[in-house]
Amino acid sequence: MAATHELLMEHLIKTEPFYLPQGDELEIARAAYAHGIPLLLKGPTGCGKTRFMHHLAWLLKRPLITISCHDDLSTSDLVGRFLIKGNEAVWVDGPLTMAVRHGAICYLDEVVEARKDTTVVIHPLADDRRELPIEKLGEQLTAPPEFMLAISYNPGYQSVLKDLKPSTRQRFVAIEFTYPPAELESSIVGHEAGVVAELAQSLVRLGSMTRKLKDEGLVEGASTRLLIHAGKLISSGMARRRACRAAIVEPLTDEPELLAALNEMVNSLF
Amino acid sequence: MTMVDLKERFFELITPPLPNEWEVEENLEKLRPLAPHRQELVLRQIPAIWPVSNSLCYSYLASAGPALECLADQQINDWVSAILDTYEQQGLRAAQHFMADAETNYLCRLRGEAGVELAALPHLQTYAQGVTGQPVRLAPGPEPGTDTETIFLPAKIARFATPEENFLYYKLLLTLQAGLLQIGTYQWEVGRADPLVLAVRATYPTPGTPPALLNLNDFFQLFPNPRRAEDLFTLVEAQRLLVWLAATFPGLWRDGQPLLQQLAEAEADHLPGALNDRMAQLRGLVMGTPASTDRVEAGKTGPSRPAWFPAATSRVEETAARTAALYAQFANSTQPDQAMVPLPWLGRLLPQAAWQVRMRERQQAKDKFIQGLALLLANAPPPTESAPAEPVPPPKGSNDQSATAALVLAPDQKSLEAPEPQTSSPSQNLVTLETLAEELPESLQELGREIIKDLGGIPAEYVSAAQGLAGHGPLALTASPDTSGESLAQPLTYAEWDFRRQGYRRDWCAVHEKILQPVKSSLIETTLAKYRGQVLQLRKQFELLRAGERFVRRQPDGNDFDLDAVIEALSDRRAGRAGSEQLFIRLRRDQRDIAVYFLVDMSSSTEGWINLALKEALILTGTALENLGDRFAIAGFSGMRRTRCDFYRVKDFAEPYNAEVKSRICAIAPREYTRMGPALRHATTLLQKVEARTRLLFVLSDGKPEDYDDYKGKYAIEDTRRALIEAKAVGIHPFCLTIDRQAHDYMAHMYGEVNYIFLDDVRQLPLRMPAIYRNLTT
Repeated sequence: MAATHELLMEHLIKTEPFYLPQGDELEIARAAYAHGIPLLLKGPTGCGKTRFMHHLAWLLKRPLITISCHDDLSTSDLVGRFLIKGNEAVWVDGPLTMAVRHGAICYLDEVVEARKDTTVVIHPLADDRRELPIEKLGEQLTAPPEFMLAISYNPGYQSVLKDLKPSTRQRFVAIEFTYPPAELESSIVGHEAGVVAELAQSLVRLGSMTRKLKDEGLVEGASTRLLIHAGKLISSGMARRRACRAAIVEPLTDEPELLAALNEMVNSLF
Repeated sequence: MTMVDLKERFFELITPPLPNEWEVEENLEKLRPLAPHRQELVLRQIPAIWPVSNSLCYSYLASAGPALECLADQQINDWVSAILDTYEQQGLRAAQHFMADAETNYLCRLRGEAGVELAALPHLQTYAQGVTGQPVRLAPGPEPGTDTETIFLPAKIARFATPEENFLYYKLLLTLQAGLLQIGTYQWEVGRADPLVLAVRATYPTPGTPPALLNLNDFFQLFPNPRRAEDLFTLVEAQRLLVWLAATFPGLWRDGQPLLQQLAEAEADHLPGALNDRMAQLRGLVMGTPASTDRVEAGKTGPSRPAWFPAATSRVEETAARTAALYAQFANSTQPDQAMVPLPWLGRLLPQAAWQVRMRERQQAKDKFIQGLALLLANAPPPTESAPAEPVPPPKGSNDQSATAALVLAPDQKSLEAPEPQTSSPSQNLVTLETLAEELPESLQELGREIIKDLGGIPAEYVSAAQGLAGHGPLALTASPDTSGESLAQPLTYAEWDFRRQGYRRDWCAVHEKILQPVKSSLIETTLAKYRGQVLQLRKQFELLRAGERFVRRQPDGNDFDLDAVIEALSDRRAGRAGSEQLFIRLRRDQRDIAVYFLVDMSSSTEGWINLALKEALILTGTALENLGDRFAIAGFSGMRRTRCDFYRVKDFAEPYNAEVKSRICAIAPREYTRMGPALRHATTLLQKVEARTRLLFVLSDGKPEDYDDYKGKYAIEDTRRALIEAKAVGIHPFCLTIDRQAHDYMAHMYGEVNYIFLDDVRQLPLRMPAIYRNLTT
C-alpha cells in the first residue's frame, strides 16, 4: 500500500506548469471538480489540452495519472489484473483503479483511439454513482471526492469511425480548446521556447497562415506545440528557416505542392 | 552525300507517299554542307516527323542545318520532340518559329534562362491563400495588380538570370499585391464632409458635387491632374507597403533586396520617361535608386526612413493626406506634367477594378433582392401550391408601390420618403429602413440588410423593379413537367421542416424515383486516361485499406499464444478463480463493413465544369471503391417545387459497378433546382435498409439548397440541417462535400462543423474526393 502511495506521489506535480488561460476554462474545471463532474476536453492537436490538465492538477494539488489511449487498450489495462509473483497470484491495480483508490486525477488522452467496449468501463465512474466495479475482485470502488476523471479528444479528424458515443459524451462537462489568439500564442511560444518576442510573433504568424489552408488540403494547421518546437530549435542555434522546415513544414504534410507552398511561407517570414 | 544519295535516302524513309520532287530538293539542299554523320542524324528523325505533317518536315529540314551549329549531336532527339510538342500544342507556325532559333527557343530553356511561367507554379496559389487568409485567384495579366478578388501577375518572368531569382520575384510581386489587401488600400472610402476632402476641394475648386462616399478613384478626381495625384499616392503607398513587407515578411524582404536593387540600378541607367524633377526624386526614393539622396544603404535590413516615411502602423488616411500635401508642392512647378511609369514591382493601382468588384457584389445583391421580392409578389395573391407560402402576407389589396413598400418595410416605417430629414444625403428616393418587415422571408431580409449596410437604404427603384417584374405575371414561373427519365413507382411523400413553426409539414414533398437513362459517352475512358497515374495510385492506396491486417488478442483460437492472456489466466487460476479460455492471438484482416450512399446535386447551377468534375469524381471514387469492396450506391437529385422532387437512381447497393452503371454516371446532367431535404430523407430511408456497421451518406453539392418556390434562404438551410440531423439520429453519418467560390457562414451551421469540406477549386474535386473518402473511413 505504501509502495503504491509512493508511486502515486511521483505523479504529483510540484512546480507550477506554465499555462496562460484563454478564457474561463479554469473556473469551469474547478467548478466541475467541486461537484464531482468529469471533464471532456476537445480541441485540435497540440493546442494545450494536456498542459491544461497538468496545470489543473497542480492547482488542485492532486496527482495526475495520464493514460494515452490506443486501440489495443483493454479493460484490464485500465482496471488491473492478477500477476504471478513468486508462487502467488497478486492483484495489481490498473492506473484507473489506482487513481480512484487514492483520489487522483485520471486523464484519458485521445479517448476516441480506444475501442468503444473499453470506453464503457468509465461510464459508472462518470455519472453521479462515481463507482468503479472491479469484476475480478468482486469489489465495487466508490470514488472519493478528490478523484476526478478527464478525457480528451480531437473532433477535427472527420473520421466516422472515430467519434465519441453520445452515451459517453453526455456524462461530461466539456471545455473547447482552440489555438489561442495571436498575442497570447506569441507569449506562450516565447515563454516555452525561450525566444524573443519578435521571433515568437513570426512563428505565430506562420502558424496562423498554415491554419488557413484547410481548403487547399491541409486538414490541420501547425499546432502551438509545433511552433514551440521550432522556437526551441532556433534558440539552440539552428538557422530559422531550417528549424521551421524541420519542426513545422515537414511534420505537417508529405504532399509536394503543399510542402513547396509552406516552404515559401517560411522563406518569406524568416 | 550527294544530292542523289540524299534524295534516295529521303524517299526510302518516307515511303509510301510520294511528295513533290522539287520541294524535296529545295529543302534537302540545306543539308548538303553538313558532315555525312550529321546528315544521317538529321535524316533519322524524318520518320517521326513526316507522318505528323509534311510541311513541318520540310521546315525541319530547312532549319536543321543552322540549328545544328549550336546543338550537340545527342541533343537532336530532344530538340525534335520539343518541335513536335510545340506543333501539337500551338500549330505549324509556332513550330516553325521554334525551329528557326534553336539557341533562344530551345537551349536557353534547357539552361533555365527562359524564365519561370506562372502556370508552372501551382503552389503559389496555396501560398497566396496563406498570405491573404482569403480565397484569391491568381491570373496572368500584363503587369502586377489586384482587383481584390484576383491577383494579376505576369504570365512569365524572365527578368533575372536564374530560375530561382525569377521565382523569388514572382513571390515578391504576389506578396506585395496581397499586402495591398492587407494594409487596406482598396478598402479606403472617405466621406464627402471629411476635412481632407473639404480642404482639397477648397484648394482646387471643381464643378459638381462629389458622391457622398469617395473611393480611391473619386479622391484622385478631386485634383486638377488626377493622374499626378494617383502617382503621388502610389509612391507614398508603396513605401507604406514596403514597410509592411519588411515588418511582416522579413525573410522575403531580405531575399528580395538584391532583386529590387537590380531593378533600381537598371532604372538608374535608363530612366523611364522624362519626369518632373521632384517626382523623379520621389520615385527614386521608393525604388532606392541613386537619384535619391537617402539611398537604401547596402546590407541594411529595413527600408531607409526619410522624415516622412510612414510608420508600420500608419493608415491609408495618412497616405491620402500626404498625397494632398505633396501635390501642393507641385502647384508652383513650371515643369510639364508627365505621368509616371508604374513601379516595376507594384504596377498601377486598380482602384477602379476593385470598385467594380464591389459594385458587382452590390449588383448581385440587387438582382437577387428584386427577384426574390418579385417572386413573393407574384406568388402571393392566389394561394398557389407553392411551398411554404403561408407566412407570406398577400399584398394588401392594391398592387401599387406603397403597398409593396409596406410589404418590405417594418410597420413603423411605412413611408416611401426618407423619414429622417436630417439625413441630408440627396438620396434619390431611398426607402430608408432600418428594420425590415418581419414577414419577409429570411433570405430577403438578409439581402436587404446587406443592401442597407452598403447603400444606407433600399432604393425605391429596387421595389418598383420587383413590382414590374411581378406585374408581368409569373413569367417562366410555372413548373414544367419533366419528361426525362421514367418514374419508377408511385411518388413517395416526405415531411419537411418549417423552422418558423418548429415543426414538420407532413407529407409535404413528393419524391419521384426515376432511373437515369444511360448515355453513350467516352467520358469513362477519357477520365481514366486523364488520371491514369493517379488511378493506379488510388488503387494501391485503397488496396492497402482493404488489407488492414492486425493482431487480435484474447481469441478462443488462433496462430499463437497471447502471453498476456496466458499469464493472466494462470494467475487467475492460482488466485482460485476460473481463468479465461481466450488465450490466443490471431492475425485478422479488418472487416470493413461500410455502406455509402453518394447523393449528387443535379441542379442547373452545376452546369459546365462542376458537372464534369462531379462525374469524374464519381468515376474515380467508384473505381477506388470497387477495389476496396465497400458497398456503395449513387443517386442524383433535382426537381422543381415540392410536388416534384426527382430522385435519379444511378447505382443501387446490390448492382455491380458495371458498364451500365458507368454510362448512367455519364448521364448525370444539370437539371433544375436543389431541394436537398427530400432527397436526403429518401436516401436516408434507402440507406437504413442496408445492413452495415457504418453507414455513410456522402452528399456532393454546389452551394445553397434552393427550389423554385419558397424553399430558399433560412428555410432551406434549416430544413436541410434537419434532414441531416434525422439521418444522424438513425445512425447514419452524413458528410457533405460542397463546391463553391467561397466559404459561407451557413455551411458550418447547416452541415455541422466537421461534417463537411468545402472546395473552391472544382478542378481538385476528382482527386480530392477519393482522398476525403479514405480519410473519412479510416
